[in-house]
Amino acid sequence: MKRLLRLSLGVADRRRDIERELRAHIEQRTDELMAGGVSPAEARREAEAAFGDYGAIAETCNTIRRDRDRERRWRGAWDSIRQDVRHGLRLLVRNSGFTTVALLTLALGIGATAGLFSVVYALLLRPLPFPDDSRLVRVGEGNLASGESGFGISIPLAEQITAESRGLEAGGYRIGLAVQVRSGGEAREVQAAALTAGAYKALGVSPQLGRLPDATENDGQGSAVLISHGYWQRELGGAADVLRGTVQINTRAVPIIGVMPAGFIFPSVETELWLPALRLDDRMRNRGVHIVEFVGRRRPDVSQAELQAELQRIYENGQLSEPGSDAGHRIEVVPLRRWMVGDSRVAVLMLFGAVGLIMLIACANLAGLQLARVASRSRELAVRAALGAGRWSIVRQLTVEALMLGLAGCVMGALLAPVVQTLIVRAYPGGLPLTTQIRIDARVLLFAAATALLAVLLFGVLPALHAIRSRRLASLQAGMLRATAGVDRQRARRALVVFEVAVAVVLALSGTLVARSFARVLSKPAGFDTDRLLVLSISIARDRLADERVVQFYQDLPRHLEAVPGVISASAANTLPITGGDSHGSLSIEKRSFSPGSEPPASYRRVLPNYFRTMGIPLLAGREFDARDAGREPFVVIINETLARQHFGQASAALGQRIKVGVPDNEPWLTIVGVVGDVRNESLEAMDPQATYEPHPQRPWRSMQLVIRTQGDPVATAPAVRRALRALDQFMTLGEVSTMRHRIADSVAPRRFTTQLLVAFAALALLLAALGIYGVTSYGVNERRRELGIRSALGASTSGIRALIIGQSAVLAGIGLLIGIGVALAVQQFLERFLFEVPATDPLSFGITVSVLAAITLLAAYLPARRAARSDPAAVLRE
Amino acid sequence: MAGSDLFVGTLDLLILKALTWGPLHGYAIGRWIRQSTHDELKIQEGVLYPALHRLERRGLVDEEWGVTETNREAKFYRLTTAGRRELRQQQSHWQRHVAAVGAALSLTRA
Repeated sequence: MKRLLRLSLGVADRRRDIERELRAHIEQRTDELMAGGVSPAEARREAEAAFGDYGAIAETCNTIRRDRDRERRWRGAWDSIRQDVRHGLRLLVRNSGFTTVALLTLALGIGATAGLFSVVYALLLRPLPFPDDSRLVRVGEGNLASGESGFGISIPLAEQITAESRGLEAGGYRIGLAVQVRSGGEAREVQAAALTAGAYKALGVSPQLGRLPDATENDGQGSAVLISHGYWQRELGGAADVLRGTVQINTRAVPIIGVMPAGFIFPSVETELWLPALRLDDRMRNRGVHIVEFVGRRRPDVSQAELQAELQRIYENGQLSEPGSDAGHRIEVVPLRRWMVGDSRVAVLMLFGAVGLIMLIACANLAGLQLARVASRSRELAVRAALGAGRWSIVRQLTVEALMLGLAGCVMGALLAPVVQTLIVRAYPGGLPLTTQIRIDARVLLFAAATALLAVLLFGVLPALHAIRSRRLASLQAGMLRATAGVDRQRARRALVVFEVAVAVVLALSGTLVARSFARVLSKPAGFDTDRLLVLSISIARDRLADERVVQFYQDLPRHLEAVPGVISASAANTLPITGGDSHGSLSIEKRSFSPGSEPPASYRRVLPNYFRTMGIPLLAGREFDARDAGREPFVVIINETLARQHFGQASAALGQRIKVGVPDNEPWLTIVGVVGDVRNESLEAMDPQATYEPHPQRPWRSMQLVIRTQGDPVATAPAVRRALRALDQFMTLGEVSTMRHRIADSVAPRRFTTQLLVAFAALALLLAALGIYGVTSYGVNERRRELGIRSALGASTSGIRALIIGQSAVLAGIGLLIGIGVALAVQQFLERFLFEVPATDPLSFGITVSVLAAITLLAAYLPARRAARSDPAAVLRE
Repeated sequence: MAGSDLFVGTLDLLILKALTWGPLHGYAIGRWIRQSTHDELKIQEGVLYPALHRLERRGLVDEEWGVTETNREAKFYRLTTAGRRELRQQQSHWQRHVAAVGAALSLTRA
C-alpha cells in the first residue's frame, strides 16, 4: 500500500536521493577510517577508492530507479482503470433499467446509422469499377423552354461529338435493349447494352478474360458478345472454356469473346451482356430521335464546364447543317456516377440525415438519464471528493462507464448494421443502383466506432463534466448539495429537452409535408380508366417475322385476344401512360412557324386501333384509328386536348390540320383525325402537354405493350391470354404480366417509400421527445416536492398545481417548437426537392405539427403533474 | 563490475540474508557480508547499491530514510514478505546446487 501511495519523485529529486545515499556510504567509510587514526583527507580518498566508480554506479542506480518509477506509474493508472471498470460494471448491473435502455438505444442507433452509411458511401463516394471514374460523363439533352432534361441524344449528334470533340479523350454511345436468352431449354429476358468502340474505350475497362470487340465485329450485326462475371458463374458454371462458347440471343448463337471483370456495372446492375455497336435502320438515325446514351471520358485538363460549352457548340453547328428537327436544346454533361445513382441519391441522403437526427435525440435522452443518475450518486461522489479523489478521477469514473456502454453498443451496432443495410437494399422500390458496390467493410466499422465515440461524448462525458462543475461538490451537506447541484442539472436537462423537441419538430414537419405531397400525387387523375386493365409487353424478333409481316401480325392481334373469355377489349401501344419511356421530337405545324425550341417537344407513340376505347381515354373530336389507317397515304395522327387547344383554339378546329413530330423536313405531313383527353404519360406527377398518337402501320415497331380490359380480375385472365399469344407464335418474347394498377403503384413506390420512412421516423422522434419531456417533468416534480407541498398547504388547488407543472413543460416545448420551425424554414430549399405541389411553408402542415406536438406535450406532462397535485402536503413537509 | 553472473545472484542472496535480522543501511549490509564471509569475498563497496535498487524494484525490499548509530542519515532497507519468500527459495536452491557440485567434485578416480 505504501508503495502505491508513494509519490514518484521527479528526475532531479531522484538524482539527489541517489546522491544522498551514496554519499552517506562514503561518509560512513570515511568516519570509520578516521576513527582508526587516518587523516581526514587520506580517509576520504581511501573511502572513495574503496567505493568504486562513483559516476558509473550512480548512473546505473538512476536508470534502475527511473524504470521503476515508470513501471509504478503505469501500474497505478492501470489499477485505477481496472477499479473503475469493476465499479462501473457493478453499477450498470444494478441499474439494469438504464443499462438496457442505453444499450438498446446505442445498438439500434449505431446499427442504423452505420448501415445507412454503408449505402451512402457505396452510392456516392466509393469509386466506380472504371479506372479514374471521376472523368467519366454522360451527355444528354434538355429543353430550356419546357424545363425537361435528361433525354438521350440522337445518333447523328453522337457521331458528331465523337468526331469533333477535343475535350473528350474518348466517347461513344450505348443502346440499351432487352434480349431473349435461351439456355437449357428455358428462355428469359436479359438486359443488354450495345456499345460503340468509342464507348468501350471511354470506360477503359478490359475484360477479365478474352477481349473487346474488334473492327470486324463492329459491323453492327451484333455478332459477338461479352458476358458479365455473374453470368459466367451462374449460367455457364464458371467453365474454363467459356471463350469457345456462345450465347443464344433471340434465336441466334452469338460467340462469346470475353468475360467482364467481377463488379463491372454498366449502366446498371441488371445488365449482363454487352454487344458491339448495332446498326439501326435509317429512320432511327435522324436528329429528332433521342435514342442513345452517350458516355465519354473527359480530358484531365478540361473542366466539365468547358466540355459542356464545347459540346453545346458542336450541337448548334449540327443544327445549322440540318435545321428543324431538334432545335433549341441544351446539352447537359453530368458525371457518370451522378447519372447512374439518380434520384436514389437524394432519398438515401435524406434517410441518413433522419436517422442521424433520431440518434441525436436518443443520445439527448440518455444524457438526461445520465444526469439524473449522477444526481442520485451525488453523495457517493461527494465522499470520493472529500477523500481527495480529485475531480478528474470522478470524470474518469463516469467516462469509463460511458465507454463500456459505448463499446458494447458499438459491437452490437456493428452486428446490426448488415441487417439494416440488407433491409434498405431490399426495401428500396425499384432497387437501388450499384448494389454490388454496397458492402460492410473497414470504413463502415470505423464509422460505427466514431458514432459510438460521439454518442459516448454526448451522453457520458458531457454530463460528467457538468456534474463536477456544479459547485460545492465537496460539501457533504446533502440538502445544500441537492439544492444547488439540482438546479444546475435541471437547467441542463431542460436545455436537452428543448433540443430534442426542436429536432423532433424538424422531422415531424418534414414528414407532414412529404406525406401531404404523396397524398396530392395519388389524388391526381390519370386521364384514363385504370381499373381491370391487364398489361403485358411482347416482342417479335427480326428473324421470326419479316418486317412486312409485323404490321399484319399486330393488326390481327386484338381480334385473337378479344376471343379469350373474360376479355372485353384489347389493344396496344409501344409505350404506356404513367410508366413513361416515351419518345419525344420537335413539333412542326403546317402553315405555322415558331422559333425552334420555344415549344416543349411532343411525345409520340404508335397505337393499335381501339386503343383509346380500351384505355378509357375520352375521344373529344374526330375518330379513333381503324382499318383505313394501314400505313398508306393519307398519313394520320391523333393529338391530345391541350395540344389542340394551344395551337388551334378548340378541339374540333384541329381536325384536318397537318403536323409533323420528330422527323426531318422531307417526311410527309400527318393529318389530324382525332383529339383525345390529356393523359399523365410520364408519371402521375405531370400531365403530358403535347401528346401525339400514330397508327402502328405508319411506324411499325416490334415491341409493343398490350393493354387488355377484362371483365373481372385481370390476373385471373392472364394465363388464358398467355396461352392465346403462345398459340400465335411460340417464339414471341413475353414480358411480365401485370395490371395497370400495379404499374401505377410501382411508379409512385419511391415516393411512398421515403414518405413512409420519414413519417415513421417523425413519429419515433416525437415519441422520444415525449419521453424526454416526461422524464424531465417527472424529475422536476420530485425535486420540488417541498415547494409544491407548501403551495398546496397555502391553498393552491390541485388543478392549479397541475396547470403550473404542465405550463412549465409547455414552455419548454414551445421554445423547442420555435427553434425547430426556424431550422425548417432555413432548410426550406432542401425540403422543396421532395415536395409536390405543397410549399415548404404550407400552413396546414405547420398546423398539424403544432397540434401533434401540443398533444404529446400535454400527455407527457400530465402524469407527473397529476402526481404532483395528488401528493399529500403534510407528508412531504414532514420529510 | 567484477565477477560472473553467479556472483551477482550470490550478492542478492547475501543481501536478503543480511536483512533477516532487521532493517539495515547499505554500509552495514556491506560490513555484514565482509564479516560473515570471513573477509573471503572482497567486493567493491559501490556494487551493493545497484543490487539493492534492483531488489527494491522487484519488490523484495522496501526502502526508507533513517538515522544510523552514528547519527548520520542513511537509507535503510527492509525485507518484504515477497523478499522473505524469495530468500527461502534461493537459499534452498543454492544449497542443492552446492551439494550437487560437491558430490561431483568429491568423486575420486577409482
